[in-house]
Amino acid sequence: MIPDDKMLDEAPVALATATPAGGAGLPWTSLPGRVAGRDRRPSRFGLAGKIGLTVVVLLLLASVAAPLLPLADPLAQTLTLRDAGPSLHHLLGTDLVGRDVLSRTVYGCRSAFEGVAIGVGGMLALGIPWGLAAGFAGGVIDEILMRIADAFLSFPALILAIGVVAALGPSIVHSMLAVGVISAPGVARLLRSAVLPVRRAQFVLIAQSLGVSRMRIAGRHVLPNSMGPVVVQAVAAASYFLIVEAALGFLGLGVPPPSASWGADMAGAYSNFTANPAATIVPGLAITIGAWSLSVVGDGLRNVLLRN
Amino acid sequence: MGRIILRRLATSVPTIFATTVLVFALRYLLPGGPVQAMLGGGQGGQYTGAQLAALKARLGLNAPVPVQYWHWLVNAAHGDLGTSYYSQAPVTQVIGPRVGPSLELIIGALILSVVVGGGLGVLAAVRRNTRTGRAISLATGLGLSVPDFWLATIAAGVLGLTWQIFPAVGYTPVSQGLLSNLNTVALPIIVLSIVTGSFLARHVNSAMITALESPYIRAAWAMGLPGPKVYLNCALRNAVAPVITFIPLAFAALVGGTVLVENIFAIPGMGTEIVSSVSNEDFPVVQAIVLLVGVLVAVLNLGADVGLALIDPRIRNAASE
Repeated sequence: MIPDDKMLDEAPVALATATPAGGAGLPWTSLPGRVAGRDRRPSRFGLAGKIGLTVVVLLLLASVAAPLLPLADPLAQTLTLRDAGPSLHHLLGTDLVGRDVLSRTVYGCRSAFEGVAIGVGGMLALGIPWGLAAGFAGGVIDEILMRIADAFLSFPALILAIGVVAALGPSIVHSMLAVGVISAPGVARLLRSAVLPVRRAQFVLIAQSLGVSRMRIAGRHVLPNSMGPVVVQAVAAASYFLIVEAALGFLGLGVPPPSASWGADMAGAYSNFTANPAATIVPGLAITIGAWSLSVVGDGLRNVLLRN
Repeated sequence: MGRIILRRLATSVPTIFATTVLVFALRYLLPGGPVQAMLGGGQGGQYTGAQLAALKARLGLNAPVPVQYWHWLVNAAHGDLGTSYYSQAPVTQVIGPRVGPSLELIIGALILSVVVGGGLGVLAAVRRNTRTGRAISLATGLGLSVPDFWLATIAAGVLGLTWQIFPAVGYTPVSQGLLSNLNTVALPIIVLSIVTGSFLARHVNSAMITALESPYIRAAWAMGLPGPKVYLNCALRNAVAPVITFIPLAFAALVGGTVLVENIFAIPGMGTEIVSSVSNEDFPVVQAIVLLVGVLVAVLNLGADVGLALIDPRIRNAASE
């Protein structure tokens, strides 16, 4: 939908006065960021989103501040205390070589978020220029770029990551970069369709008439006003990448041992499941909570940024 | 109609082409290229320069890269996916027996997702704004965010190892009895279908709610049609489209899921093969599996698009304009 003057002028008023919370507004594509910002309805980030955001912040803090926390050494093995149950020294017990499960789970945040950061970084670094170029250039370039995006849109990321590990050896950087790159077409498509209406908006026409360069218009005017869906997609992808990182670790194709990693720790402890289920369940619970939190933050952002 | 199929076929050719290029390009990621990997990898294999040159010549690696790609593609199309470094057998022989168990898991999980997930989605739409509807919505929300391999370890651990209700590991082929086969695959299939089933339930649910709140359903109620007729004849048709779009998406997701689930339940499918091939540095096998999966997903996407055009005149008309 291409916004015309009337829509840009009247839409926010109509939204703010006529529609109750949860009601239907205009499609987000017709509302550049600033105009949407005038909408005074209470944010619908939601309770789940707030809980999720709190958990994500806590996990991020834990991954940065793990060495400062009063935790046992995640690598220290106490072979006399293998697969022990919870105790005062080891609140969640120990794993099959007597390492503290709680400490390893907290340190596991690091490789999890490292993997997520690499994946999201790779996805945005490729997807943003891709989508912006397609939406901004239009014509044949758009057609070619979008056909390439279509080709890779549904390629199974985990399988590609395994293929890359087979070629380059286990490395979270290579595998998660591959996952990010194969996810870039999704971002490119979303950004392209968000760019299309914005590049015809009045403020862009004004910038053009003032002689602002195309690069500057694309980067400073169009991109910031079309980033909403990309942000939502990035958070949703982060939730998925967290699971992929853990899955690679679980298959022994992620962070090399003995570093703490949720997936690898689960796999290691699983061989002794009957004796000590906690050592398998706890890191798995961390993956679940992390992935769920990121996904509800994504849902909340979708409600706030992309009201429709 | 024929024109739509032809046009869609024409767009899926580049997709499959791009997939093959991507998979072909993987071998150039190998440190030192494919030849060094064959002669013992980057880990200091013992070979002379002459051996290297001879192998290069034999494999046609002196030809320009596009020519190499073409040869590789033609061979692959003829069912020659190379030779396994590890077992020295043709890759097709290594992968062949592995396809069945994986497909059984994936198709089983697809059927279970469509029946249970689709059913729950419809039920939640019919009973929307009631306790049943909210309970289903909560359950599918949970089902979507639980990693399948965590669920698989717990299911295998608790039901298999601790309580011993199901076998925790192993696979019995159908040829040795359907019941014992189902006994080994039931738990993996249930675990696999939880995420995809929840996903489908969500989409069927929203398609059904949109349909149920549309004017033509109101008209059907107003005309005094009985409930089952309104739901089954009028509204349910709208649940078919999300099911068709779901199949290729779910297939791609289930392929990833089976890799993990097969490894947890020790099922001799492509998932266990690809992981053991990675640790054996058996690159051609990994490459072939990635290729197979990529092409299958592209073909399923094509099938879904054609299927949608076949069942939905709105899509058919929009596409032919």
